[in-house]
Amino acid sequence: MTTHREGIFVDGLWVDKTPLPDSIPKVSEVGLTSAPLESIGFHFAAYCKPFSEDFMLCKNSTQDPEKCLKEGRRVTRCALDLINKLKANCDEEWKKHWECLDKKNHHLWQCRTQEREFNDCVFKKLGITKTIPDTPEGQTPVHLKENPFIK
Amino acid sequence: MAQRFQAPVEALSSLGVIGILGLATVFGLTQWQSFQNYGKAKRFSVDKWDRYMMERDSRLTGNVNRQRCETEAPKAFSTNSAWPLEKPTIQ
Repeated sequence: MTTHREGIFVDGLWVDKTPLPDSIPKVSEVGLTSAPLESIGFHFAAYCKPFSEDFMLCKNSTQDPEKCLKEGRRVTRCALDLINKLKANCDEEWKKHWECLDKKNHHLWQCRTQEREFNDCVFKKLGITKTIPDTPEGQTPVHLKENPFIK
Repeated sequence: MAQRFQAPVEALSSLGVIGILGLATVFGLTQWQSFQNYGKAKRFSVDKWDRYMMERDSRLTGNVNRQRCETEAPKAFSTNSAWPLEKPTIQ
């Protein structure tokens, strides 16, 4: 189920309207679309690291989706918590950043000024820094470079 | 030096006409595309990840071009994911 190809000669769409059974606790889904989600991606990684690591380890260990629902609910709750905190603290900077991303084809390298303001606000209010994993030692990450040639 | 410089009007006027028509085409295309896309530029270099995210956007807001920044998804979102049905080409 992880490698999924798109349908060829698609005949129609099938929607499964039955909701989840009542034995599974109900968690509301994250209501962000792609641009706000992309702008908080790295902050979410830093804030919800233990939950998402548990979820990924669970997913790697089994093919059955039912076994990892609990870890998935935990990740969703952590994400909802982070979004509520960001809305309470850094709403304007976040809005400017994702609106810029929306206009620039979701390219992070074209919205660096707004991203810098947003990251500063998030670090000041919530203590989360954006770190790009696997950055080689001694090299500044691309979002911190001043006047880069390759953005 | 001897006379005043005369710009080559006959040679450059044709290039000017071509340039103006080209710019008009680009301007018209961008205006038409932004009219179709809620005032934004068309998305380009859309790979599979972006396509899946846009499909998720359309399930959340009804259109791929509308962005939404609420904490929780609408109730219909948990049951409106669609599977494409494929007919086998060779029976």
